[in-house]
Parts: sequence; C-alpha cells; structure tokens
Amino acid sequence: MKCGISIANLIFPSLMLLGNTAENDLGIRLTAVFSAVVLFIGWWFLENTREV
Amino acid sequence: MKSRLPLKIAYAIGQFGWSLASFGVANLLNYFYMPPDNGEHSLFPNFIFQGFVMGLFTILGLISFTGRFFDGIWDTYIAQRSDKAVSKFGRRRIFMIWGIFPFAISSLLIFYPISLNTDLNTLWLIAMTIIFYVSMTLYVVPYSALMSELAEDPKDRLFISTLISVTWAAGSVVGNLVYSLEDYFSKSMSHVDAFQLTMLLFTIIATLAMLVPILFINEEKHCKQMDDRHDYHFLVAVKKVFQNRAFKNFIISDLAYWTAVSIIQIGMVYYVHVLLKLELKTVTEVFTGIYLLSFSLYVPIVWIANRLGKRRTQIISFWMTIVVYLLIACLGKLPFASSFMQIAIIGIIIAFPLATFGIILNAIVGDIIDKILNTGGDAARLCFMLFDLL
Repeated sequence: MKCGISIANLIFPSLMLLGNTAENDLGIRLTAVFSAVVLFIGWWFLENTREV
Repeated sequence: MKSRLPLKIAYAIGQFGWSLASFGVANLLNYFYMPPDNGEHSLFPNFIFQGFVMGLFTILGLISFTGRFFDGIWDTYIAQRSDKAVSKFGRRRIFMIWGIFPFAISSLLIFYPISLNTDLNTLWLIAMTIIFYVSMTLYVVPYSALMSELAEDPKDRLFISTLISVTWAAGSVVGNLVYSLEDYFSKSMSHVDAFQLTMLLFTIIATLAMLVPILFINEEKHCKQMDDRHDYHFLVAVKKVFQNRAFKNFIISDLAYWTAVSIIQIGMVYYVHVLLKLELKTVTEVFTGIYLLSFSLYVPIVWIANRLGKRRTQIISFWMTIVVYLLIACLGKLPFASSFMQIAIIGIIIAFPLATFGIILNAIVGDIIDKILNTGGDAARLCFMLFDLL
C-alpha cells in the first residue's frame, strides 16, 4: 500500500507539470491514462493468480 | 479486563483523529503546492519551485515519495520498540503520547510556508515532512497494535475493526469538507488564509479525537497482556512467502491498485475544478457521495464475493476502475451528460471497487499467507506488515 501511495505522490506532480490549467489540461488527463495503464498491468498479474 | 462498548468507541475515535490529521498530507499537498487553475485564477501562489528536477520529477514529488517510503520502514522499527517497551503509562500509550502533538502540529505547519523564498519553503517542507512521518508512526503503529490487546476474542476484534473502518471513513469525509469550507471562508479572506484556517480547525478536532484513547484506555486495566517475544524467523517467513507465485502476483496487482486509487484521491479536485469547471465544493459532495455509496455496498459485495470468489470479484473491480479512468481522461469532452452528471457517473462506478478492495483485499492476502506459512502468529503478522509496506 505505502509503495503504491509513494509512487502516486512521485508521479502525480510530474504529470501536472505537463499541464494543470484550463488552457492546457494535458497533465491532468495523463494522470488518468497513467492510472488506467497501471491498473491494466495489475489486472494482468491478478488474472494470472489462482484462487487460493 | 472486559472491554466495554464505551472503551471500544473511545478507541475508534482515535482512528477518526489520525485519519483527519493525516488527510492533508495524504491528499492536499499537491492541491496546495501545485494548485488547480480553471482559467479564472490560480488558487494559491507558487510557494515552492515548480519545474522538473533531474528531468523527470518535482521537488514536491520527491519529498512526498521519500517521506512515505521511509515511513514504511520506520513503522517496522517502532512496532518492535513498542512491543518491547516498559512504561507505567503502558507500552502503547507512551509512544502515542510522544507522537500526538508533533504529529498534529506538523500536519498543520506543512501548509504554512515560512516565506516567499521558494528555497526556504522547500527546506521547511522537507523538515515538516520528516517530523510528520516520524511522529505519525509514533502514534499510529502502537495505536493499531492496541486493537488486538483491547479485543477479547476474534469476534470482538472484528467488531472493533469494523468500528475503526467507519471512523476512518468519517475522518476522510470530514477531511474532504476542506473544499467546501475553503470556498465558504474565502468569501471574507484570501484562499491561502481560508485553506489554512480550515486546516487549523481540522488539526484541533483531530488532536482532541486522538487524545481520547490516550485518556480513556488504561492498558493495565483494559487490555490483555500479550506476550510479544519474537520467536519467529522473519526472513525465513518472508522468503517462503515471496517464493509463492500467487503472493508475488497479488503484491504487484495490489501495488497497481494503490497507485491508481491514490491518484484519484489526489486528482479529484483537478478533475472537478479544471476539467469540468465545477465549483470547489462539488469535490466535497462527490467524495461524500462515493463514501456513502461505498458503505452501502459492503453487504452486497460480501455476497458477490461468496458467490463468484474473491479473486473474480477483484478482477471485476479492476475493470470497473479502468473504465473510470478512461472516462476521467475524457471528462469535459463527453457528449452525453452535463458536467455534474459526468462526475456523478464516475462516483457511482468507483464506489463498487473501493468497497471491494476495502473488504476483500486483506482477506485474500490472509488466505495466501495462511496457506503458505500454515500458521498465524508473529510471522504472519510481519508478512502482513511487509504487504502493507509494499
């Protein structure tokens, strides 16, 4: 859990630098894209885990 | 020895306190130091350097990352020190007493930059972050250990565990009032002053709540005296657990989940205020709605997990969360609903995975650890701690 929160805290502000305003919101949208990709990787590993 | 209901409530109030005290650092650092700008005005001035460091990261990101990471390591150290401690106040309470005031004060001062010089503010932020994580651990780790000693049996422990889940969520709900309160106070003062006043109120409430278990729980009188001499071989247990493919896979998927869910916590104010151009107070409404809906889904989710299996339920939750993020990436550009409806749809979908992960995450890890180690006790407890760190 703590590593996950740490990674989010590290990545989020970096993405914000790519645009966190109404004129340029690229960074904000990229936080969502980044999260979706991370979740896809998480799903892949879970899919390959047998029910205990 | 008998732990009566008022004692359990007194204990659970402590959880509300530390949930609220840690809310700002967990969720609002980006908001305050890299404020959203919806085109009208930036809410706060730039207090620290806004730019890339080492070409990839930010000052804020590196400070938060390092603080969080070492917090995990410091946790293990304090847990062992508290187990061995001897004090007339009790081996848990003495650490909580040491931790409570620096924890509360640093959680406030982290949002009080000392000058207009960004370098000085950065140093201040680093110092406050260190004090915050060290003192938070001093309070939280012994507090958490107190639960097993306060509970009379597993059923009692489950009851206390449920109570603290509720008070933890209550802390988050109150924490999310920050946007509404700041909105309200900013009618008569600057946004910085309004935000800091809100944080001051939170700190006072959190401190009083964290004092409750310290004042009302007497370890000698109300808690079981457990023998915590460590007879396990931790490294052997960790090695054994990590050799298991299911555990490794689960750790990675859990890491992915927490990374993603932390981003929605931190980012919601940007999604609502910048992408959808809604008022700040809408963030409070959205989070409150998500928490309430999530709670109401606890019972149905247990039923679903029993029918489909825990892993399959998790997989469904993963896909629901992926859909949520894809929707977030398109917020403000979706043709089919108003701005408020767009965020409401996201809130309704995300409530299910949040509740799912809240309920069955530990259950799955517990199943795996039990199966691998074939024992409970200290080894299992430390494997859980490791899981929490990762």
